[in-house]
Amino acid sequence: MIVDAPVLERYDVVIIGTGPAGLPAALRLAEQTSLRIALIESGMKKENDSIQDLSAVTATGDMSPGHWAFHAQRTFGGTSNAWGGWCAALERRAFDLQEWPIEYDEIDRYYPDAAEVLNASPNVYMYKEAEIESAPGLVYKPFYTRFPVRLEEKYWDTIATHPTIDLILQATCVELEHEGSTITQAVLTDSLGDGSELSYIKADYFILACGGIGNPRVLHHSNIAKDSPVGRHLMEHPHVVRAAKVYLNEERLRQYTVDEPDVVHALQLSSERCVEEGLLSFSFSFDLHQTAEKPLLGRSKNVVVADVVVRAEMEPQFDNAVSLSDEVDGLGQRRAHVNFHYNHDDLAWRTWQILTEELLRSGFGRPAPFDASAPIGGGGHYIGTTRMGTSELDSVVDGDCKVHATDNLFIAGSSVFPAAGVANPTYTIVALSLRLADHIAALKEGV
Amino acid sequence: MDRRCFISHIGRATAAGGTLLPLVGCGIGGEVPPSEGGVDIPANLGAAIAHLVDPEYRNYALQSSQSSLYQALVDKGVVTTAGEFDEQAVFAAAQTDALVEYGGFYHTETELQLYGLAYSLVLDPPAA
Repeated sequence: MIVDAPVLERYDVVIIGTGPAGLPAALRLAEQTSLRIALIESGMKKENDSIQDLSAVTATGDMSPGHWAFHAQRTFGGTSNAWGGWCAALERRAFDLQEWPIEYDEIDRYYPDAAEVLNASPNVYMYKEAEIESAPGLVYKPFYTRFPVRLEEKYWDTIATHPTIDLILQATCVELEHEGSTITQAVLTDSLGDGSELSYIKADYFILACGGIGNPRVLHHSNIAKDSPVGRHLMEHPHVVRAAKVYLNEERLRQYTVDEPDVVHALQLSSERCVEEGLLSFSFSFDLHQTAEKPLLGRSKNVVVADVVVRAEMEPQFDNAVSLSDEVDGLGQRRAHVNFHYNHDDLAWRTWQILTEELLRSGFGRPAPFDASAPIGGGGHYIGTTRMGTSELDSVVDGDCKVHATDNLFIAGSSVFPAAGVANPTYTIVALSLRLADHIAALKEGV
Repeated sequence: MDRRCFISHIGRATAAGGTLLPLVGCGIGGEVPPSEGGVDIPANLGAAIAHLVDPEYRNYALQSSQSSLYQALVDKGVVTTAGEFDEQAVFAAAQTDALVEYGGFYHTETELQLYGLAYSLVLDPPAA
């Protein structure tokens, strides 16, 4: 139900943020337990410009401040109000190299439920990818792109009437107070105020779900996890539109393409090949509209002719970081400062060369050279700023998404990803949130 | 063959209902004529690889002599002196060939030789 202020002296769980990271966790906990949950949202049911301005950042590097702010939506439902609806499972590459401290299956088993939350096609977990026969380094790995579900539309009524979830709107968390390693309470203020009037909410467990910029910002303001790389290793997904042209053997391609609408077809190097060659994940997508007859390896074949869009994984770089700016927002809080530079170029070039060889030598297709002048955009994916790992010195959260330096603070969202992959993160964000909810439920039950 | 000769030949072929007649006295591209070095290109080879003719390989064909393309492909086992074509040999060669950029796309060297020869033979078949 919607409340103006906390109605309990102490909740079981406080979740800060109602986007794809926070809202599914709240609903999962509520479905599976009788825990009392407070759900805190900085924004309102619909967008408010003054509140949205709280997400504004200062920025240096390759992306404008507006880019970072746009994908940090402060309304009920969070950035599900702005996302494009693309779903794909994360690649195994980084898990095979143990860049994640958890097994791939830990996320994989939540993908079906995550698909249900996002109204995604079941193929997103049933047909994640397919190896191309006679071209073993290649996989067909599509993106499933139904009309993007807006969590506000889907779940508002459920939350508004829920007996064990208290939704507090227009409340910004400005700090998490702690005694030693225990978070004692979240400090809230009216999002439309001047930050002088504060209220407090206590809980056994706290989940921070404020996005890849918002999560480290709250930690910075709270002086939490100072020995950990909070805000560091920010990653995005460089998109290169019309990166190259390609011909693809239509007959062979159609053996793999998903026959349903709202699919973006794409090929990648397999995770095994990436590991073998020391490459990061790399996808190129194409449409099937234009065909021609062309010779391929001594045969005249019908081919799909397409301009490709490349999506590349970035390496985490320490200096790509979210810190605190000298500029303050309307609540008197220091804004986030984002320093970010793309670093995918060399690997992308090398990956395209290897893809070229795989396509040509197998007769599956014929690519053109990669166009170095093609413009690069970001995906709106803010990844890695409270990364998961085993050590407090090089990560912020552990394999259960608990902040190393605390007993009871957890983080939900793509800020916990230690590697970005190329798959759009929302689907995996939801899967991890459901997993986190199950973990907290087990903690409360003493399991 | 110089351009005037080439276009004149095409014009005659069109007037004759599209059948391309053997050229006599013209060399492709103004460079080495097709019969250079005395290499006999089997008359049936053109038909065997006619399905690979693509206008995009015209420039490549004009840069090379038929005999040099033919000999290179014989050496690789892609075509035979009996005028046969082995597409598996194209695949095999592709596994080790250097990749070459042509016409805005990557090719294997063997492919370029093959498509260049196909274009050349179909439009300029060797004398019987």
